[in-house]
Amino acid sequence: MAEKRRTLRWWHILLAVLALAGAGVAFAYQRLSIPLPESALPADYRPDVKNGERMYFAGGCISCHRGIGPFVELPAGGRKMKIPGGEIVPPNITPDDETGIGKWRPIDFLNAMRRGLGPDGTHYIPAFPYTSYAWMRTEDILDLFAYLKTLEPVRNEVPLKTARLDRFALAFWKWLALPPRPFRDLPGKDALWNRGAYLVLGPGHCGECHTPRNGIFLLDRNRWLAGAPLLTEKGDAPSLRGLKKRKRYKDVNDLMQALKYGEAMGYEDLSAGGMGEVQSNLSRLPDADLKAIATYLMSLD
Amino acid sequence: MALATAAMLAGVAMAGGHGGAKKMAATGPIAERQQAMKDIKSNFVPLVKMVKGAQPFDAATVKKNAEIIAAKLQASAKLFPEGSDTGDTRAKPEIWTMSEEFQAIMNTAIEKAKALANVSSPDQLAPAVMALGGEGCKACHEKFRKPKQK
Repeated sequence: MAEKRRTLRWWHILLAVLALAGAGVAFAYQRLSIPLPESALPADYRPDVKNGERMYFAGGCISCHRGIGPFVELPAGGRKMKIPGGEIVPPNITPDDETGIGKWRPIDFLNAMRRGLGPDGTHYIPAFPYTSYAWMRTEDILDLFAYLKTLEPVRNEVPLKTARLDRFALAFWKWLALPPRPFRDLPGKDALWNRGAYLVLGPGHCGECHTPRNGIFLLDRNRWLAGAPLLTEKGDAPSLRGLKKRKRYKDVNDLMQALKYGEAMGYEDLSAGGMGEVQSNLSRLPDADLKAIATYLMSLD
Repeated sequence: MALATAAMLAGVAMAGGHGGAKKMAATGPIAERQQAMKDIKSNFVPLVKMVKGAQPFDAATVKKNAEIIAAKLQASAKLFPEGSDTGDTRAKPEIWTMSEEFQAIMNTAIEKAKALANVSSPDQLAPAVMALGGEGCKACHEKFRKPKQK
């Protein structure tokens, strides 16, 4: 008996610990890959397509998902995009049944936007900025989905390629990167400021370029919108803090005009590095939303 | 002590002299086109102010400024010779790899500047200014200007 107990060596314990850890990681991966259930949707919701169109331009979906040739004004995908470590081709998000999101259900779209999960369980890479879209309200996401469904369906196959290991790692990264819940108004701030903060954090996903990232690519919330090196080309997304103090814009109205007209009205440096596209998209928003964005940004010290 | 002070002063003087020499040496296509862009901006800003109502409409100023802008644009179209993509410049290499598109936008800008010079009433001003700014300045900088670096 004593002989038998002695055979329990240190490496037996190590093996047991490793096996347990492996099982834990596998379990965690499983848990992190579970999509939101149908019950996450509000009952009997009737989407507002007009508001969905607003979300479409606030998010600038077209700028990455832009089609090629005759489909240049539709988010039919297929254009190469440079990202750190390679190249991606954003997918077709027109409502084509076979090659687009025609067969998606609202819950599929909610999972994509809030969890970065595809209908087949794919963990999307964060070039699709779900880390910001997760701040969005369920209703706004469903409105956007309803708007996308009104677009002309384009048949354009864009295969999504993510390595298995990347997807595995992404599940854990997302657990760290995703905001815990959708945006809630800050009680001490007025409606205009809160609307602006919501548009900047959520649909506008401004932080994805304008906030620096740490070693594992998470946004550094202590330097929120403080400017960061661009990931797509050489150069920097400028700081959006202290715009007032630095006299970058005179007042809220001035910044609002800048977002609305950009360089067409002589506001310099709103075109390079992809900002021209952003500004074109923002110019499609109602003045009230642009004023909200300007109000929030001008309030940052 | 005095020696150190003298050396320091000399150093400052030398640094100053160096700076001056640098300014004097600011010729060549990069410096010239940067100056042209500054001139275009300083002539464009008053017209934007007129659109915003921050300055009264004055057809003579519109004509004068727009003609200067057109001339500066015409001159700068020639200030992008091969090899002037390195150094202190925000010019993207695409200017040379997609030179046809670059020249086409330049030509549009020149055309819009000339159209702006012919504006005679305040209600024509906003669309003409925004056509130049949008189809000229913005269209070009979007594709052919590097983002700023910290």
